[in-house]
Amino acid sequence: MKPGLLALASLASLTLAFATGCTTLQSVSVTQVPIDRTRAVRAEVSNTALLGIHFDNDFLDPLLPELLAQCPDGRITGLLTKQESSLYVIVATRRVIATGYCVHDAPAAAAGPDAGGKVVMAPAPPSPDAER
Amino acid sequence: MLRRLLAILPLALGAAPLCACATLHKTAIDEIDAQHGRLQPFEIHVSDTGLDAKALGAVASVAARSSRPSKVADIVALFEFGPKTGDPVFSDTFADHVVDEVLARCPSGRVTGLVSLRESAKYAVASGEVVTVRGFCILD
Repeated sequence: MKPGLLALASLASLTLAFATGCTTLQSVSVTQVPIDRTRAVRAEVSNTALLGIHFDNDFLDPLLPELLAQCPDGRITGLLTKQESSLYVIVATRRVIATGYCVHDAPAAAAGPDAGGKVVMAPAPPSPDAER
Repeated sequence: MLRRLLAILPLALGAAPLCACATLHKTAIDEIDAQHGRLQPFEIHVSDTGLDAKALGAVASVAARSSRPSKVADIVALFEFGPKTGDPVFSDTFADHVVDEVLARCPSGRVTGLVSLRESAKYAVASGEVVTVRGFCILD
């Protein structure tokens, strides 16, 4: 291989490495997903540091207020929380992304179980033995 | 300018172990219910001290001018093999009372928007292994 071509290939590889980074998914959690998924909410916070040296985790603080601002008088559920980190050679970025749905419960349910809300058990499915 | 920067670099690297490097291992957010009343935020931290055997061995080796502590630390580290979050601690129950702490902050038990974080504050040979729980207490 010619030295010029090798240098060009190396440069292209380095450029690609800088552009893409190396992403790790550190944790994922999901809460109950609602039937009404018309009002989606999303919040994202991130924190970048040289060599990945961080001195605190305060970057998370605005996450909950951001979510609450999008659903001030409802219930945010179906929350998918992803924590990921990306490394761009000497710079590391931590990112937490929360997506979910804002729902408004019916007044009786919203007032809580003390106000007459009841837990209704679904009938059990027939057992395979009973069908034989 | 470059020479001055190179002169400062060892100082900066030397000071780094004195500062705590924060690590966020895991994040989980529970659903947030803002339709039952006013929300009062609370935050709870429970922690234990973690120990990095290999780093401790390296420091002891430098102090004693012998490679023996480092070799002992390598053997100790073999017993800490496997996936782990942060440095090993001496108790596996340090986070067990976090639920009691939540109830102490919110005696009605009406809690929403719980954020559970697993964090570490790393120093040279030791670390603070922390579990943080944030949330809202429903007041009305």
